[in-house]
Amino acid sequence: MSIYYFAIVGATDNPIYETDIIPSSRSSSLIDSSRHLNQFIVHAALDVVEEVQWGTQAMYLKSVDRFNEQYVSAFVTANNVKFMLLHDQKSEDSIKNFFNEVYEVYVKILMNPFYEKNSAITNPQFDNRVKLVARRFL
Amino acid sequence: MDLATNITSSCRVRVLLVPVPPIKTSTFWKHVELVKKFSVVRLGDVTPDLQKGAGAMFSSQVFQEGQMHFQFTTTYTRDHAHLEDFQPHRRIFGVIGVMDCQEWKDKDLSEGYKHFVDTLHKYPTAIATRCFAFDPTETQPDDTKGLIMIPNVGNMSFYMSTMICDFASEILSQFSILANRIENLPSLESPLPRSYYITQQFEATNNNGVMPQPSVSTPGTPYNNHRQSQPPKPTQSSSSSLLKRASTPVGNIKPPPLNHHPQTPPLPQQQSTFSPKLPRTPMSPPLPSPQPTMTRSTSTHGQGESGKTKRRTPGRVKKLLADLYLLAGRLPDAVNHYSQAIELTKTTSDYLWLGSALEGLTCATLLLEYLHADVGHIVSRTQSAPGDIPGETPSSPTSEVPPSSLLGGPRSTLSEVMQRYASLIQYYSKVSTTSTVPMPSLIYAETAIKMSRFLLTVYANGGWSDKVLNLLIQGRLNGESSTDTVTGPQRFMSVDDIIKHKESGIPRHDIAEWVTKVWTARLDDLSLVDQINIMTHMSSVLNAIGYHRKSAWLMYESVNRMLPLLIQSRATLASSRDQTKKDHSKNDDGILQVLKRICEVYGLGERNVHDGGALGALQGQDDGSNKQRDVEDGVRGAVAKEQLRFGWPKLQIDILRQCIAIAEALPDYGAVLYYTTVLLKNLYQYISKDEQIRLATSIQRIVAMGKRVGQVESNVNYWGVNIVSNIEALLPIPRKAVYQHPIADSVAAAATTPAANGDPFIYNPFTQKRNEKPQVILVKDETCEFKVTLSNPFGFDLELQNVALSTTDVPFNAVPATATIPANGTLNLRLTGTPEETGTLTVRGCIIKIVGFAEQEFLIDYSQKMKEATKDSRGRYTKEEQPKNELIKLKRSGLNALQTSRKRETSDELKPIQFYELNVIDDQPLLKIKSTSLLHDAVMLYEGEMTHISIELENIGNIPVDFTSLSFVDSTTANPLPVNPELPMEEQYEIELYTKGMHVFSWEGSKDQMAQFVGKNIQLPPGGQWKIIVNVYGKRGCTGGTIQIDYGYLNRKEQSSSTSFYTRQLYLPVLVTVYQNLEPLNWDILYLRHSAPVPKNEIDSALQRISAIDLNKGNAFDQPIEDLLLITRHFDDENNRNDYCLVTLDVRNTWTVPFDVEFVIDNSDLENTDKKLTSVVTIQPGSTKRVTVPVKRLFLDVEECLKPVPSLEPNKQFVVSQGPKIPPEQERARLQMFWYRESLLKRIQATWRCCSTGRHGILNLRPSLRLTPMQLSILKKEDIEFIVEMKGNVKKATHRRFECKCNDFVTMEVSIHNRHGSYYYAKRKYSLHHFKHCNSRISILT
Repeated sequence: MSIYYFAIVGATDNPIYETDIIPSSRSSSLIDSSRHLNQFIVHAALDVVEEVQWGTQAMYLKSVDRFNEQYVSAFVTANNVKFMLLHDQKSEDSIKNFFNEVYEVYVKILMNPFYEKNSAITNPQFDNRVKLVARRFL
Repeated sequence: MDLATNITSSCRVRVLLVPVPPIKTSTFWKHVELVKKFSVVRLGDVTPDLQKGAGAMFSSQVFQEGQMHFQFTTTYTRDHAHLEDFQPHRRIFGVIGVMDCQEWKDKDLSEGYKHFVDTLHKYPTAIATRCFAFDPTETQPDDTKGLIMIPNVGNMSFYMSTMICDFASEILSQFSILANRIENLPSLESPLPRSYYITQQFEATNNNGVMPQPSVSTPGTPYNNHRQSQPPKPTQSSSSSLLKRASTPVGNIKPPPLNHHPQTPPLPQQQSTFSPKLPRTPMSPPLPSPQPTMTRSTSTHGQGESGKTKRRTPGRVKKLLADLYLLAGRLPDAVNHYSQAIELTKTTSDYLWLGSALEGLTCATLLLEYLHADVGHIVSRTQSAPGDIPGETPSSPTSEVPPSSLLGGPRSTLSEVMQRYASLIQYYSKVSTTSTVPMPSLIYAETAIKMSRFLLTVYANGGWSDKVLNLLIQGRLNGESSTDTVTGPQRFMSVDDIIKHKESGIPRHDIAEWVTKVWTARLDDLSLVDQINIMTHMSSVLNAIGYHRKSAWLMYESVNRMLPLLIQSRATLASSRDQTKKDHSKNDDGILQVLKRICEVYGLGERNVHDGGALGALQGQDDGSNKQRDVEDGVRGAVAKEQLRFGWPKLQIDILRQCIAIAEALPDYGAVLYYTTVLLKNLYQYISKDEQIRLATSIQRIVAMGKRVGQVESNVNYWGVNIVSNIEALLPIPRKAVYQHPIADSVAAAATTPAANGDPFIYNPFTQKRNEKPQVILVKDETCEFKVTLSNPFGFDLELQNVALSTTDVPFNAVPATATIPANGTLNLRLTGTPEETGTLTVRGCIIKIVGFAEQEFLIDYSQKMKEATKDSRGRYTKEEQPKNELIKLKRSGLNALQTSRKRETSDELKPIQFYELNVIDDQPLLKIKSTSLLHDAVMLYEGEMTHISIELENIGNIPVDFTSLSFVDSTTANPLPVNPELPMEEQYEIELYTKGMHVFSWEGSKDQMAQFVGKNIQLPPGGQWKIIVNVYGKRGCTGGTIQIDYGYLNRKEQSSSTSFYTRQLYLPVLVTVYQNLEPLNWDILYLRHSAPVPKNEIDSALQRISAIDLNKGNAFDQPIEDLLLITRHFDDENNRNDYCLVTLDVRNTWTVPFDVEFVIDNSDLENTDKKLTSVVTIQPGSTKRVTVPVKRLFLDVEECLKPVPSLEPNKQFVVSQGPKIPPEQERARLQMFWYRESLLKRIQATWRCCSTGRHGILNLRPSLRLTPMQLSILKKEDIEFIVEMKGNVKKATHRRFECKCNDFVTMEVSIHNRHGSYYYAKRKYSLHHFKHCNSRISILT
């Protein structure tokens, strides 16, 4: 199993939510070193997302960018919040499923009247759900 | 250094321009610019080779339309020397010395030339050299051989072009020698990628002239090969004469056999053979050491590899020849050779060379097309001569481009180039599969960059056109000018730009994809300089297509790689001299600009962060005049910037840390300060506590250092975060509070307001409530307190050395305080001060000096607070505010949002700052309650009792009091129970009477005793005393009350015009305990039967006895019932019936002492005015006594009985009764009942008295009296009364009792008395007429 980095990016390029999806076998120290690079990659890929999102009607933009052996897949929600997934294996279907599931969870967060738009999601349940979805599809 | 890597760069002949000292820098550059004008030479103009003529291999006359492109550079590095044999265009083919004759006026020019020749050994690859001497004077002889004088008179450009053509001719002839040598090579090796070594990287950058060692840890065998092709050049160039060149190659070609035996022993031998031959080759010394170690690793497969190399050599040779043809401008030959090379390399699957050949071919075809466009008449020629084009197309991997399309279809050229590059990059990536020699990363990266740049050129110029082709050949991106707007440092690409470029048909995505391909090359293998170079390329391309984030990231990475170089150079600089600092600071601007740009993209632009004036310090524009405005802007900006928060905090932290590191390396203290403050202030939430402390302390350190150097001004504030979050004036203690009253009659005003509103409701729950908060009014010369809320968002304690209020408009004596705000905490501080004049005091904020930093004013924008307050009170935003606050946020996303938010800020939408304002009024008097007659402020009363309280006041203020008013509140009236409008009117009346009709307190001596608000003018000078007496009445259910004394000084002369006056208040809370001592109950009214009349004298004596009872005598009384009853038997002369009835009630003593109760019955009537009857009874504790009182029966007029029930409440809300409608008769009966009860209560009064204590009071009979209809009928006189009178011989005994003799006729007169107001019908048969009036009498004769 490979390592994934998932981030939800808001309107002002700010991460609303980010997480590393790692198999339990790997040590976490490995992640720490690569983490900032991941963020840079994802941030840079926003450029491409901003271009590609206007060219398609689908929310799932597939793999928009690559950096060395890593791919960035993106999913743009209706109010322009971007789900970015950094992965090193290409498997469009499962990633699509993953995005769709996360979108559903995210919409539930949006429906919370106490959630302020474009602010960080700190709900631990959301975190759990996302990780659960990730285990199922990725 | 070749910064502009381009798709056509492989056709350029690199020529190095070197200054021949002494020469001024500016002069040198002037001449360089001059020479650069002649970078394109038409082959037809090139001097033909005299020896061989058109037969020469690279004769310029074969393809006259061709062009030679020179690339004049001024820097020289051997970083890529290992690639020069693979791609000849990397090589420096010529050296031109630039000499300034003005500097040699009195010296011999030949000396300079000699000097130039001496330096030539540094450029071993040069095959042609020239030395141009500019601006010769007349006197200087043009006799030095080899030195070319360029006169600054006459047709200079013609002269120059001739010289360049001559130079080109020499290069061409040298090409043929090179080509010869290449053709003779038995084997050609692929270049070896530069591998990891660090030691020499810095040397490479520091001294451009001294070439670095290309590779150290390369495998042995390839290295040998690399050297085989290399040697010719050093020998040629070192001699700098054409004669030796022919001889040198022989020795150089010899080594190849060694490749077949690449064991260690031959190597030293080889080395030895070379060293004598190449004594001046500067690259030889470092060679020997690495080689032995490396050969071991590759020796195992050296055999197979070399065999393969041999097989591949022919193709490679062809490719190199094609490269040379391309350089020479012989395009048809180049294309020809390239296609041959492609075929050959394909069969041997030599992908590296194949790819390179394809690259060259692409370049050649582009150039050909360019020439077609440029020179029209050549078309016929090319179609005949380059039969190569059709020959080439099958070999190209795409193989779908017909030759005609190359001329006609512009789109196809584009797609052809794209496809060719796509395939060649594929070949490159396959290199490692077929060869042990890895793919040189640099070539791979450059290929990707070339393609992306090519696409970008097409993209930026709106599709493929001749113009684009032109630009491509010139290696420029934009036709118009060098200052292209898209890549300007402060701008992002807008949508318009993107749309404008869209017609080019190249998606930006494709360009970006080519750029990202660079990453697949292992960039880490390259030297730092190359990495930076490539990244800069990538970054600029990405920026040009609007991929700012990617571009910024690459900038970040490249700056990261520059950092060690910077530190290195600083270190050497510091060790050498400090004098040159000025020059460097100028150069530093560039890197600071880059940092700025990076910050901008990551949401850290100057507009998006608050820096607390550090930027102002950087720019040094913080002069006093606009400081005020700056401060206000600062507050406003801080508020506004909160909303503009943008970006990815973790990345921002990274970026800022790097910025700090770079700025420290420079060192630029201003920039360090700026970035440190930005990091601390904007991202403290994401930084650990330790680092926050470190940053905070480093700020102080930086300031200290900056001051020493003089880069940073001393008086700058560094705390942009507003730590003052709220300022609020505290209400003074109640005794000192000042209340404002309008001078106009307040009662009248209050009465008119509800009517003026047109609101029919006295209390309307839906009306907007006024802000009930009492406003704080400050008094001149009196200390006032402010609650200041300070918050510290940082992870460390803030020690405030000095905190004081900052005010304007009125002189204010603020008392400073000190405090420490705990980390991440808030602190409520009480700050005091004294206003010294009347007027409006404006509180701007606080002046705070944090330990170790400059004093700074923190402002509070009150309008923001107000908005919050209204939001709080209403619970939600008003309609206009809500969408404003939320929609703007999500209107745009990404960098667009960044841009629009900036626009919004500049459009000055923000409201002016609003400060907290307070009113300061003139001195006010101050009273205090000196003493009261109460013990513990408590009063104990029996119900109905009345006592007095005396209050003594003293004026302790500085001015007299001339007005006081007393008002009272007690527990029964303070918050009366709302009267249920459903209750019957009678009960409502009772309740109102209880709450409103009886007052606990009243002011003794005032005009209206019962008034609850009484004002009086008095004179009480300072220090004077005054006594007030207040009555307290024992009202049932009262538990306490407050006596409020308002006072003020009104008769000021200066205040006569003002519309309001101010008072202060004193409160005296009084605890009241009311005990119920006596309880009346069981009312009844009895009918008195007529009995024998009593003589008048008895009645009089009875009356006398009753009145003789004196309460003061004796201590136990019993009711004189007999006497009272006697009185009832009193009759008029007119023999009217008895008017009395008996009212009885029980009175119970619930207390522990006996009470005397005195009843006073007022039996006065219209007709007779009797004295009041009194009756006293003593009731022992716990016992109940029945009291009997004779009361005259009543009769009330009809009109009186129909009056509505009165109400004590003037502003009573009318409520439509929802109950069933009462029939009119019933209603009338109720009213009658009410009014009879009222008059009965009026007649009977009761007081009580305690003999032992002497206390006395009123016994309230009202609550216990309930009349029943039966009792009412007894109390009330009948409506119609029959009065029988006998006339004649009749003796009247008593009322209705007559005595007459038997059988005697008497006349009986019956008169009917109608008291009722309406008509009655007398039902006698003959008296059927109406009686209009009461008291009319009918006589009936029987």
